[in-house]
Amino acid sequence: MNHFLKDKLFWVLLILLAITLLSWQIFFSVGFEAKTTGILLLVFAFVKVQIIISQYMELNNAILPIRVTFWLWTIAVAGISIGMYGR
Amino acid sequence: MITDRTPLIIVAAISMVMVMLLYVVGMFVIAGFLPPPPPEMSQADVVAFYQNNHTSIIAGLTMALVGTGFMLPLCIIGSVFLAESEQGFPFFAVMQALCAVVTVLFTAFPNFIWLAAAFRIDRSPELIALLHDLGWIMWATPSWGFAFQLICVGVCGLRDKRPQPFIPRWMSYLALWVAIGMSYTALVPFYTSSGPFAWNGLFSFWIAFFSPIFWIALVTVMIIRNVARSSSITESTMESAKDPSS
Amino acid sequence: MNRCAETKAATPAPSETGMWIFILADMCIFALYFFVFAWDKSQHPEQFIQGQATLNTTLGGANMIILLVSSFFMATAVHAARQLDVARYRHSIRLTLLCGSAFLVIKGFEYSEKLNAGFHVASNEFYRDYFTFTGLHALHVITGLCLLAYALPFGANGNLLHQRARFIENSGLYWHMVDLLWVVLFALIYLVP
Repeated sequence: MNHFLKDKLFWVLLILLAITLLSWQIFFSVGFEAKTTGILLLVFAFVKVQIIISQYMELNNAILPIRVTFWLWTIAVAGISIGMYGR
Repeated sequence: MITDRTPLIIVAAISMVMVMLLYVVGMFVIAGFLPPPPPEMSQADVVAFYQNNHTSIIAGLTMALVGTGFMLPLCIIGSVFLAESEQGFPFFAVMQALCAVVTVLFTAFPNFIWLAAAFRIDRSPELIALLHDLGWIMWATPSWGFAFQLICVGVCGLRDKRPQPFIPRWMSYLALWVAIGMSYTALVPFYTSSGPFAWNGLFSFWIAFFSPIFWIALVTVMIIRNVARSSSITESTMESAKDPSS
Repeated sequence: MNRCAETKAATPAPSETGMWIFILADMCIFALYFFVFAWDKSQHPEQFIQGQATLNTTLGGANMIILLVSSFFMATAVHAARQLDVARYRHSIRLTLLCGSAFLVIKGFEYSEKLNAGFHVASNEFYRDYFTFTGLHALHVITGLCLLAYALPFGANGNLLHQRARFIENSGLYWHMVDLLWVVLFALIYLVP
């Protein structure tokens, strides 16, 4: 157990699972209006995406143009998806 | 062993010009077949299209047919580069060349079918519509010919350990991406109305047709630069060989 | 063996630009899938609400958790490879393969549920998008599993792990991409009302 608690990758997994559970909770119980629920779920999804890219894919080890491009991808795709959905 | 580049350059230049002039102009401009018509076009509209544009359709499709022939020398030139990087039997070079034949045939066959549709304008409308559909399904669905060509190029490129590989590694990865990115053309026969995977769709036509063209344009630029660089190295080597003081 | 001892420190290998370009291209295509889905949903809201109601959110959610856990194992495998820890590498790759296979089994079960209910890839816009986008994602999972199966024998010894470091790093990147794409697909198709 100690071995896992010292492992940064394990903490990343726990955070990702926590966000997933939070999304689940929002989806099933919290009584927001439909569009708000949808937007929140998408925001959480893209936060998870960026965590995977930066922590598991270790984006920081790549050269600068790649780091910029992948950040842009997340922001642009999140923005456009949420924008198209929220209209 | 490096093949003499001069005849390759001449053949490539002629072939590229002819493909642009004959296939691209023939299909897009004269025949008006590309971009593809929507699959849900009514039978009456399809028949009217063939009847009203009879001559330009036949002219454009025939031009395009001749143009497809010129795609073959371009692909075989690619095999020359692949063979230079391979040891022993040039498996990927041969595979690429044979797949090129498949690609060219499946690009050309639909034109024959559409020509038959336009051949007799007083033919029964159902038959004209059938030939129209047959041509489009044959044109839009098969992508494995070109996909396999790209896979050969990609795999060969990644295995190329020479100090000056024929293409940079990222182009090999891009080749593999374009190859798998053409796989959804297999979905074309499911859709009788417009949508992203229909024969005129965002993925099955626009991306599946233009991403290979984009990759070919990039690789052409690279090969031109490669050839220019190796010919300037050859020139400077010959110059220093002539000059006794160096 | 001495050279391997020198490289024991877990310094991250430089990631290959070409692989990042491949990943980016694939992520851009999937971004188009997301936009097409969002567009179709806005054009056919009732159909999409009904379609979403027929989806098995529990199975989709299970697949979400499976892929997140598999990414953890994959990242562990890559780190183990850098440290030339062959046992941990082999163990982690096997667990990743197990997770990926479980994903496909659940996916197969989900699809057969839908197909038995009479829905297929051309039923309507919702099912077209559902089957094609999740199906293409499943093809990516299969490709990832093939890469991992190819990489598993590299855990035979430290020398091999060192020689094949680039392939292992690239496979890791690919697998994480497969995971993050499901994160968005799951939210967009199964959850978002």
